[in-house]
Amino acid sequence: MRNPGWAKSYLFKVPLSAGESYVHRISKAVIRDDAADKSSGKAKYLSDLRLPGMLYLVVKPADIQHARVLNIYIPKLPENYTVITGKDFKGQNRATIIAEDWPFFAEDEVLYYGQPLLAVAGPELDICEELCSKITAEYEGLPAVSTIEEAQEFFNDFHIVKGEPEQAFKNAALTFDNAYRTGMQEQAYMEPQAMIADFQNGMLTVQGSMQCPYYVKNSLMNALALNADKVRVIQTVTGGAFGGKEDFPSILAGQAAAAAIKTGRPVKVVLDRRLDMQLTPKRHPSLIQIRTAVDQEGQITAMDIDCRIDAGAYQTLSAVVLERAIFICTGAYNIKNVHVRGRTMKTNHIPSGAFRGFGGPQAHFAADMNMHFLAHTLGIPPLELKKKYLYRQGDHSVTNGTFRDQIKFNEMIEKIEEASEYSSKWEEYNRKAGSRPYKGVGISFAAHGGAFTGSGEQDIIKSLVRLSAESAASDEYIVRVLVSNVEMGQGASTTLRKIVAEAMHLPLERIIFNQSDTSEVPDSGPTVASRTIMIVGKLLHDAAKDLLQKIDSGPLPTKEKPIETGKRYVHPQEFEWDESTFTGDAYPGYSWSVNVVEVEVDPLTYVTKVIGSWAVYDVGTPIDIQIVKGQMQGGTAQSLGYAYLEKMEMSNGRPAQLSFTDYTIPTTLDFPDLQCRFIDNPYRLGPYGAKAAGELPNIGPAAAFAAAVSQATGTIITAIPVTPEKLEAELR
Amino acid sequence: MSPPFTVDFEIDGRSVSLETRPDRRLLDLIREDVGITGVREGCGGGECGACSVLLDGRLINSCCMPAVQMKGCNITTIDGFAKTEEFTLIADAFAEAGAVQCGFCTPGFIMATAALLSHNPRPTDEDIRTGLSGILCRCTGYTMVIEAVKIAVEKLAAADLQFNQQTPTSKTMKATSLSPQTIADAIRLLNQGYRPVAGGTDLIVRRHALLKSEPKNAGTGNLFSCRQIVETNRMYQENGRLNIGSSVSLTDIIGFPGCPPLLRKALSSIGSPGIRNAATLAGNICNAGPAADSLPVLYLLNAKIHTSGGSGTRDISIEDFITGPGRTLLQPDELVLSICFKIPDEAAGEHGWIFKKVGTRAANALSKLSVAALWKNANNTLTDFRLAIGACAPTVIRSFEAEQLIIGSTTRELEQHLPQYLAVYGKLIRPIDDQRSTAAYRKNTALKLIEHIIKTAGNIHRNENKKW
Repeated sequence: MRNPGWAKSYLFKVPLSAGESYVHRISKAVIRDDAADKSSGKAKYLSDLRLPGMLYLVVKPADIQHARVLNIYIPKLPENYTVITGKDFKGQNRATIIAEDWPFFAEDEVLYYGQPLLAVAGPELDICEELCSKITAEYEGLPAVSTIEEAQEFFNDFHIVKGEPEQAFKNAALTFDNAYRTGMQEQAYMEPQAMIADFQNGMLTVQGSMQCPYYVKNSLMNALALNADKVRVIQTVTGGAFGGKEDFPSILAGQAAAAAIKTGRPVKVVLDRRLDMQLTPKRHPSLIQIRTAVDQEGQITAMDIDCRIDAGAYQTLSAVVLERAIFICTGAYNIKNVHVRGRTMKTNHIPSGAFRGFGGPQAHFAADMNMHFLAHTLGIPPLELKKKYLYRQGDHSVTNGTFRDQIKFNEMIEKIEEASEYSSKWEEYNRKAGSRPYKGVGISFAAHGGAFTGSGEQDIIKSLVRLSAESAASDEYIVRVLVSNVEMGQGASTTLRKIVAEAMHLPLERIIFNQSDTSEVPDSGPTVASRTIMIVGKLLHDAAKDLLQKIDSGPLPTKEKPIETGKRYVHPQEFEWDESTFTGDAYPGYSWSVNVVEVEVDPLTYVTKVIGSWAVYDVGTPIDIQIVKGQMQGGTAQSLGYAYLEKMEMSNGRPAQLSFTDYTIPTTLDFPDLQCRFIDNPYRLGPYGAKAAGELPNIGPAAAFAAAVSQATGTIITAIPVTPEKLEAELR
Repeated sequence: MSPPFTVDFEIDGRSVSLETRPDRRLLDLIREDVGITGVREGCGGGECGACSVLLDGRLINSCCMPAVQMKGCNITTIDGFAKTEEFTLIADAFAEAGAVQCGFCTPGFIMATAALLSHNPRPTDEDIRTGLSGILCRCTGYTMVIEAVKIAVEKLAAADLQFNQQTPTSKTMKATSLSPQTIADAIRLLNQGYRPVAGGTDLIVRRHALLKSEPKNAGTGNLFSCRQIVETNRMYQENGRLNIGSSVSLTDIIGFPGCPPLLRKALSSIGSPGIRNAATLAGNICNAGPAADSLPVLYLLNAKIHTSGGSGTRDISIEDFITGPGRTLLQPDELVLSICFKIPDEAAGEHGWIFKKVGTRAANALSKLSVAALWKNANNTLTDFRLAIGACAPTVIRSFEAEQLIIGSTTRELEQHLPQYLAVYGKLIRPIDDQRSTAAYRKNTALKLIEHIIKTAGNIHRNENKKW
């Protein structure tokens, strides 16, 4: 072994705070490699960059919900100003976002309010804006579809059957019908979407804020009819994404690239907050109807679930969001007989898109609140009822897959009781029902399947990672991590390096992770689906072991002769999946959580205050306890915002809240410290036992919040966000 | 377009002199003209705080600070602050606590931490949460950010570092065309079509948004600053009355010992520390927004608006001054110099007050509705009672009819006539549905709050939870 003395390798600077513990060495927190530049303001986000001769691009959105475009009036343009339209795409005026249906610019028909009609490129930003404001369109209005209920058309209609639901309903002593609704949610990353495109000597280079450089690259190749070697995509420091920079960057990159090709100049586009909120996809609103069968003994025997999500005007990736929702449509609960129908409804709304959790938050809200309803109706304390149905190892999922690994809900419940005193609070508030201020406490359980569906990681993503070792000093070498998964705030540049460092017994400083550049890194897949550590991290771990062996058995790498190794994902044979019938193991591994939220509701104003939030997670081995904790707390805040603060209403297809003044994400004063703990349950197929983590905290808290408000107000909450207006109308 | 305008100020220790529009945002001056990119635009609306800088040692949002107010100011950005030892300790604390994720908001948090700790080296948890409440973060859920500030407190104490208390540069400046020092000069500018700005946290956000979407309606850059006019910078107590100059920031009013607690509470509910450091009471009044949080209290206090203009000075009662949403009696050649009111008695036991704002969230929130009340209860008889409601009609509601009915009533009479009082208020409450709330919610909640206030004031229910 050439690199002994690795014990000094980690920057063991972070003291453990009270109550924090870790079992595995790799979980020990290190200082993030990007903290210093981000703190001092030196990190360069896209909006901080300028290229010589650069033009600005301003998009003109349509101000009508559904219409035929009869005419577009463009004023006389000053010199060096150009209009970009759908005709400027040599390949296709469609972005590739799984489906290929969303146009960069509307053609004959506008399908949603805010759909880009065209864009203006030119040297002065304010003149581009002024020109855009002078462009007008003549429309012939068409009837618009604005709600899931109104919608007749759908892009997908999926059915899954587990067990014998029909028989179970026939034998039911009682059946219950309930409907659950979740709202639209804005990702609200702090850095608005931004891109720069440059086309020189037949080569297109696009830089920008994004999660998935190869998604953007593929979309550009298809849209602009360019070969793979003529398109280079570089991810710039990304100021938050949360799914919001999975799909839309392909649109913005296409618009900027078409302008760069047309003008021959670098083109920069930075959305201001209002435009960002107006133009970009949000979390799918949902309407989930659940019919539940209960037998003579009070056992829940079956559920018939109708899950509709608002896909908006174009399909894009909605089918996959729907899949995630219906695969987990009973939440963390084992229901023996299930029929689920799922549809992606077509409306005249902005296409809904990716948002952390990706269908999971909607499905879990409905599933968990339905259990809450059943507990209430059957006269059983919610935790007692929920506990009885929690998934256990060996149980079958809705898709008839098998939960192969240990599920430690008992330990998790024990831990959350200890932290939150849920049961004693629940009993106390139950006893004091109606006393002021109204108080309540709620508990929810959640599951999240890591990575792509079924064998998608092998068949569709074909994830490939590379490591490259080259000499740094005489007897030292550095290792470059070459992956297309990006650092977007979640800490991947630190955690992936830690995995390689640990596998190769190298000091962390010698592992290099750069911003992703498609001219340097292979396609290891998108930075989505909580797959970065679980899938890519594992590939890197295995590649690192190979690389170490190569280095140990040959000459040291040099600058001229680096030693490289690659690893491609192979789906473990134990998993079976039939994509055509949605049967089998939908995901290779699941992460689990339990959330408790405690609230106080003002009896006069119905304003709810979160007075406590606790969570226990099973994410396998946290690769860095502090980074994972940061993910859990941040995700919890987003889910609590989703539950009661963040309201995005459509008024004639037009979002009513288009600023941070009106769309209110949580501030420092909205919650107390968000408590979280982990249990130890290493995942056998993950790097050092790690599995999916990033999305899990976005899934459970909303239902725990709603359960708490339900107890506080004595009504069952069936829709989020739970605004004071809704509570007042309900309790008036 | 207005004639060229030059602004001189200090930024991170160097003097700059920039030719620009008077209404250009400080944020744009910093990023584009000076070239410091660590100050960032996250929302352009004074909400997210990514553009935070220190102005004369105080935290402000540079996205809502117009160039015309920068004359002679001393700006510290993250770029300059990063060169200090204090920065190193705070940044280390943020890294150790895990408070840095995507990093877009981090410089804002660090500037807010510096601003907080420079005047409050041992903050409580509540102080920290309030001090940082104007910086939005979508990644962390704030828990680790709060922890980072606590670690920074320890580090700074251990290093025995004291922040330089940056005080406003008291260099006397030559009056320039757009920062007049006398009322006469200001009136001259008004007559030339210039408009006064006092803070700008609302005006600049609106103007910038309009510039982007409807440049033709955004008007010109014809703004001038009132900050150099001595009369607008004073705050003093005289003969039981409080005079507040139109350039005095909300922070200074809140911190003034003579400020009535009721007004202090209302002003503290506006925006965030960065907004309160720039915003003024005169600005809040002249915007005349139906949801302006200072207005219900000013109505209760029978505040007078002191103006000066071409045809002399006027003292106008706040109720007359505000004529509708965004509309006031202020003439084009008239300037608000100060706001004045009699400070209410505070004799122990008998006096009470309530200010209740129902906002969109816990901090940096706009009002869905607000209710303010002030009373005196002597031996279970209400000898004074005033109540005003915000955001429930085009202007603030204050009913003298209801107040006359209520004043002089005993506890028993109040209980008996409560429905009648509520009916009077009910007729006046005419709210609307908008993007923040519904008319029904506003009306029902306002009436419940009024009922609660009358019961509290009249000692009808003493045991009710009063901790608002």
